[in-house]
Amino acid sequence: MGDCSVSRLQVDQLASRTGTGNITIPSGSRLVGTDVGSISSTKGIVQMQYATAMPSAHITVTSTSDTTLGLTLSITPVFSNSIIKVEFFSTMTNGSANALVLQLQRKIGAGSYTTLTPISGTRYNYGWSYNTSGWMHGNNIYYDAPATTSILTYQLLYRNTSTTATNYLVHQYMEYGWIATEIKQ
Amino acid sequence: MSKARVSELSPEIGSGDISLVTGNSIVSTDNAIYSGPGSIVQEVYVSAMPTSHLSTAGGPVELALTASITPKFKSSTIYVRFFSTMLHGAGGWLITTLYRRGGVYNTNNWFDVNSNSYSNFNQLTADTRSTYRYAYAWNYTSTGWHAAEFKYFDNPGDTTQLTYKLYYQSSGTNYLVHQYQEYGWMLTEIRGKD
Repeated sequence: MGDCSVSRLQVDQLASRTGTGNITIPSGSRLVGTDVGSISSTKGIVQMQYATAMPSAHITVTSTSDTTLGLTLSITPVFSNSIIKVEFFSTMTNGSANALVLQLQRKIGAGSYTTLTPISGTRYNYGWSYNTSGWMHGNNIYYDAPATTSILTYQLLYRNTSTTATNYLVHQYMEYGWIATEIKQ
Repeated sequence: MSKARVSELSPEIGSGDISLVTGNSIVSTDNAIYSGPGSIVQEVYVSAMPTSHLSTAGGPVELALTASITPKFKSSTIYVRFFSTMLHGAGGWLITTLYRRGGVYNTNNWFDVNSNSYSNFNQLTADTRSTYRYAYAWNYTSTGWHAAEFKYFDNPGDTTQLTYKLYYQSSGTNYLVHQYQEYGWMLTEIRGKD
């Protein structure tokens, strides 16, 4: 049979004419999905969400108690078995006054926050990161397996290891933010 | 049939998944398969290794290695990353500034002191040293040797080719990249809501 032209093809499965092989999107044509994650494959990126902000005053900490960062990031996984790669970055951070310690928390739906990277434990014994360096960029990465398609929200806790000195999570007027990448399994 | 010409695909009944039978692939020869908002449209990268230190005791110094990408969608975000596997800023401070050529925000051309002409590059992270966005440019580093990765989310609003460039300057002798260490760019197009 030769070519077939229809405005809408309603099928449950696609396969090449000979059983296995490639189905080609010819040059000049595009296959475009509408919904988030509408075209996805194993180990592929389903979606990437991000949130950035710029503080008009330093985001600092002198307390050894946790402070919660106001900026959070939410992502709704398309697949329940997806891995979520979570990243937090600061373009200018400073932990040289003793140490700046970060912890990552996540909540599922309207639930409570769970600490993913505790400051004491058998995994993540010093939080998500423990920074004693002077001014530099900061990058933190965590691979999460939340096993849900409910909305996920990630938030950051930060603290100092001294009550007499000041550390900086973000210098004023510098950018910081979150990135969440859903990876299909 | 060997070729189906269609404008839309949907499941046989209502909504749901259209499966690709095991052993089959959908292949595009020109990067033309796109999922919904938030999906990765494309990623390009370029890397290099210097045979001598990329360093300065002043500046700004223009980094020769640039990266280009042509967005497929106007609504896309370009996730820009620059990395150095060995950077040093402890000799005072080292700052980097990001520039972009192309895109709709292209009216504020930057005067290039090296070529003594307008460069058609926009400063995305101007070093204002004031109470504006990016008070200390893209990044400000005053620590010793470490691996660095700088990030920027750009919304160029256009589908013309974009080129990103970096300048670096220092208050003392500092190193953007140690000799024989790798560095480079990664540009990721994230689809927006059209």
